[in-house]
Amino acid sequence: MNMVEIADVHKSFGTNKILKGIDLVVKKGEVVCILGPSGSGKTTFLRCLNFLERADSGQILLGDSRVRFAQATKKEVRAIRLKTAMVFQGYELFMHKTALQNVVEGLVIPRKIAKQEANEIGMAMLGKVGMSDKADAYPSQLSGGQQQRVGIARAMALDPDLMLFDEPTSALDPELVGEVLETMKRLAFEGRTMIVVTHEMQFAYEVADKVIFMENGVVVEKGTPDQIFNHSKEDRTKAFLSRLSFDSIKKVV
Amino acid sequence: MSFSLETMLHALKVASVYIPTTLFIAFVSLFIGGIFGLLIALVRLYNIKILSSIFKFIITILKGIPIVLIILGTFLLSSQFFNPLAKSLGWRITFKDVNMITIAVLALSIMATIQLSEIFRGTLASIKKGQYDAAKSIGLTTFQTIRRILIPLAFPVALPMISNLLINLIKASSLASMVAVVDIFAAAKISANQNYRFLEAYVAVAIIYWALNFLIEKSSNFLENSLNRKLRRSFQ
Ligand SMILES: Nc1ncnc2c1ncn2[C@@H]1O[C@H](COP(=O)(O)OP(=O)(O)OP(=O)(O)O)[C@@H](O)[C@H]1O
Ligand SMILES: [Mg+2]
Repeated sequence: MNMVEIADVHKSFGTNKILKGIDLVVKKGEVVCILGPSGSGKTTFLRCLNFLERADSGQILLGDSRVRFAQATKKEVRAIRLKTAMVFQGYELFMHKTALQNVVEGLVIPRKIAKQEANEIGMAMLGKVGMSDKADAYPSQLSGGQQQRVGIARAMALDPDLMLFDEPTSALDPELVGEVLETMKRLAFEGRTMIVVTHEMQFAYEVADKVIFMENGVVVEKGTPDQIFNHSKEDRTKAFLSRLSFDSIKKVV
Repeated sequence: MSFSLETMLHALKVASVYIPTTLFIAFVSLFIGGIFGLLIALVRLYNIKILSSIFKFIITILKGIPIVLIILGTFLLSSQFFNPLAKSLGWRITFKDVNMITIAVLALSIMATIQLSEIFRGTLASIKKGQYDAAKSIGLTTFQTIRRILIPLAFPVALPMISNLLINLIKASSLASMVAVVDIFAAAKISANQNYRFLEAYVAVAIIYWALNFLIEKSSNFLENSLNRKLRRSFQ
């Protein structure tokens, strides 16, 4: 069953064409990893799906909502936002709220879930990311890895049909990357539908059902991790992967 | 010129009676200015068409006018226009019936609105864009974002500036004695008029203002510290 069908997404900033017709189909429970060089439009693409940016054209089918980006009404924007959740590169936790308050905010206010029930869900989510004992800590008291795990709990709590991850580990010190990737792996095995922009090749190789290589606002190549990493047909994909010296990682897997 | 401690203490006593009046004028103006200042700052933050540029224009003009002129202007304009306005609205009161404290509050509210709109604009603008993104992505509406995220984030940062403004409003309220409100300053002057001991009266006034400011600063620091501990890193 197709959970998400995204078609022909275009987006320009001024005269600068950033996305030039992106298509993507994600089945329920699938993990799609998006790779690509800096400036290729990966963040912009995710932001368009969450309506943090308004795409110029294209459409999205998500569950039972079919919405055309350019014409979407306030109600449609809200419907899509309530079905998606975003994990940000810079975590973006609310700085004046504790870990638990961060996680329940999206439940209590926009989704009108009773406070007590929301707190129970919130604690369960913090438990899943191994942050129960930090429920009352403020973001400024947490490490980057811990903040990002709270960020993931905040997104998960919304029980979204589609989770969007924008380079969730790239702002982290190397020794903190593992804990966040582990958390995401567990989500993937739980059957969450996820689109993950990442530079963590090993994660993509192990966890993704589908890998997409993007450059200059177009999808250059898509396929299974094996197809992309081991049998790529496109020179540009090969060049990108070789720059990351992926071979050394692959042998470990 | 001799200094009589006794006279000074007497002036202190007379003037202290009007501390509540001064505080009333200052706090009410701060409150009114807070509401309008926040509204103006939000209109400018969200760049609402037309209104945004109108406010920008008005603020730019008023910002350059000394508070003395604003007080005198408010008095002059309201004395000119109140009676015709009241008549056309069918009110049975005239300008003579208007409490001068109202005029002082009106004038200081204008001052507070201007300054608070600038204070809030600055602090709101310094909130990281990511906080807005996060708010949107979990499904908060614009209004919910303002209420739940922006104001709680901006307030602690604005607090030192707000307490500074409160101190300025208290000082500026002494200018309101020009339009015949009896406040601390005016009361001390009246007491001095009886015995021509102005120095003692002025020292008494200075002591009262200084004590008020000291209290405000201390309580604001206290509030600020307790609010700010958790807010580190939320600003660029
Ligand atoms: N709000 C904006 N206004 C103007 N240009 C923008 C805006 N956001 C992004 N861009 C431009 O769009 C292009 C793509 O940016 P984007 O952030 O989507 O790339 P990316 O693939 O996520 O790169 P990275 O790997 O560095 O995160 C960049 O050239 C960027 O300068
Ligand atoms: Mg990016």
